[in-house]
Amino acid sequence: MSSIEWDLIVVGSGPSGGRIAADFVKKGAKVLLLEAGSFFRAKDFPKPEISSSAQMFWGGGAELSTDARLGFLRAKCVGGTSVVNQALLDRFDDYVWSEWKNISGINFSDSYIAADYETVEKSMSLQTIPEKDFGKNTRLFLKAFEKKNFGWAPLRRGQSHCDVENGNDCMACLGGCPRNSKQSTLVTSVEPSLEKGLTLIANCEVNSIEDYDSGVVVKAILNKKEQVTYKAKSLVIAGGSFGTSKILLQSGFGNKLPALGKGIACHPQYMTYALFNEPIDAFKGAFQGVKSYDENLRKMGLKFENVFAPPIATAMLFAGHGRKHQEEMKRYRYLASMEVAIRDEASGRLSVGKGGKLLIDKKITDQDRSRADKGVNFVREMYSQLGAKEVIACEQGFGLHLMGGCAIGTDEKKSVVNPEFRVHGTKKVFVADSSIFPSAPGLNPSLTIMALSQKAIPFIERSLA
Amino acid sequence: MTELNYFQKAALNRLGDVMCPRNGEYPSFSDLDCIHHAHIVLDEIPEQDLKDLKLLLFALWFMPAPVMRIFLFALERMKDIGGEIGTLVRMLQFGLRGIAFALYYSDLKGPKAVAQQTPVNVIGFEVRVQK
Repeated sequence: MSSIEWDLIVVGSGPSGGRIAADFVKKGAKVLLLEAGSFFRAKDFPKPEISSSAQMFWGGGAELSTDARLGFLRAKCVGGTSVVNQALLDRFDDYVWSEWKNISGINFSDSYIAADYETVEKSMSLQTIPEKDFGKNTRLFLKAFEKKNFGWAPLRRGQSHCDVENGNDCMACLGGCPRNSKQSTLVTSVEPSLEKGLTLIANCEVNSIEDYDSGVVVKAILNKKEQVTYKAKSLVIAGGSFGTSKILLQSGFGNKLPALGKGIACHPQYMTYALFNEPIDAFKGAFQGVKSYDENLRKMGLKFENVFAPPIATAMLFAGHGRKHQEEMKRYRYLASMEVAIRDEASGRLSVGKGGKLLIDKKITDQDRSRADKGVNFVREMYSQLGAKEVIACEQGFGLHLMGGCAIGTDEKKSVVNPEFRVHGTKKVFVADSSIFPSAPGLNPSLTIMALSQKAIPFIERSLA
Repeated sequence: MTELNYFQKAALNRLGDVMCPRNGEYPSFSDLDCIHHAHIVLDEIPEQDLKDLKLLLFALWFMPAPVMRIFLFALERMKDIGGEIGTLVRMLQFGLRGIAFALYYSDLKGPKAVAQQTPVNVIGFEVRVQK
């Protein structure tokens, strides 16, 4: 292959790609980072909600499953999900490791990844939300949990200087934190690396890749019109579950790897609102302070989060339209909310349809439905015990933690990526993002995506030697 | 910047007014002239979805408001059915509610707005962050 321009091309700038790119820039490699989304920074994150939703997510805000029963929120911007999420950073537990070990044939355990967790945790500012920052919504969540005897814990977030006591409202940072307090990959990895020689091309959507003994070829569309080709010694695909799977499917890997695009999970989340007599103003301050932390709930595959949603999202979650819908929205300040996320079966499947459209065949299984119903019923009971005037359980489920499609494992028939994070049958193509998850962990995936990416670095380095 | 033609704009305003009517403190969808900002959403919709949406809006132009009310009511009632019809109903509902609510609760007004306060003012949502 002639004229290799780069040591390493990284496709996708989220928690996996941004981190790997930054590491190799530090090592002195010539790195090209390609991102399908736009490059926004603290000074120019799109606001208000309509703009951030449309400009920072695929599909102009949300994508739907093929049966249109589930919506998916998939970030599309430099820094990826880490820019638009709540930066909740939890380690996985033995439930996950033992299941992953059985599925993948890899010796997953706490000790397998402990050093990588530590490296990642040391590289950013992690703070636990202090009790003084708990808002009314959080305090109601705690009361409800205590009445029900459920365990809880304060959230650990990647944040440095939110300054909530001086009136900052973290909900404003869902479309990107204008203070650069949120420890997104944009802040921790991409921006610092640009000063050290990283080349970033935004609005560049990769269509396909080719793998040769001597290197890799990446074909992409720049600014929705110009076809471009880049060559490198090695390649990391870090487009997340949907993005990475789509690129490999479009590159023909599905013929050799039957597991490609399969095993999709998303922790479907269901919001329940409760109406109280007093204003709750759940959108003020830290707006999310605690989480469920309970052995029994974990076994049931349930995770509760004390979240709230901005106006457009809430309007979409409430059923119907017209005057009744407006009256429900008018009670916005008096609403508390809680969300249940379920540890779903990795039963989804991705394929590429006409015109390159990603088809997301992800159905709610009977087990998923049973878990969701159980979780929503718990929330109903808890809010009723607190004296809520009305409880509104939203039917629309959303997937925010998109996982699977390129499962890691030892068996080429059942997995896509080998234990060294290399796509089976390739020499230079690596994947370490959430697409490699063999099943749904039931916990926030960000920290583990970064830790797995950290673990992949020595193998990628070896391919460059 | 993606533009809608006269018929599509008229249909979206009518749809918006059915979904978000003038109601007490609430202005109607068209009172806000929020359609002026429709390009924010339309610019980011995938090409084929945008073509489908424009075609749908053109078809809705032929539908008077009372019929549109019945149409939306029927979509709401049919959203849980299975099969391809159910899928189509849910997609239609998600798309139409998506564009109407995104514009109505955007806190944006157009140059021809006759409303003083936006629905976001009415519900009392306000967040701030010091940079």
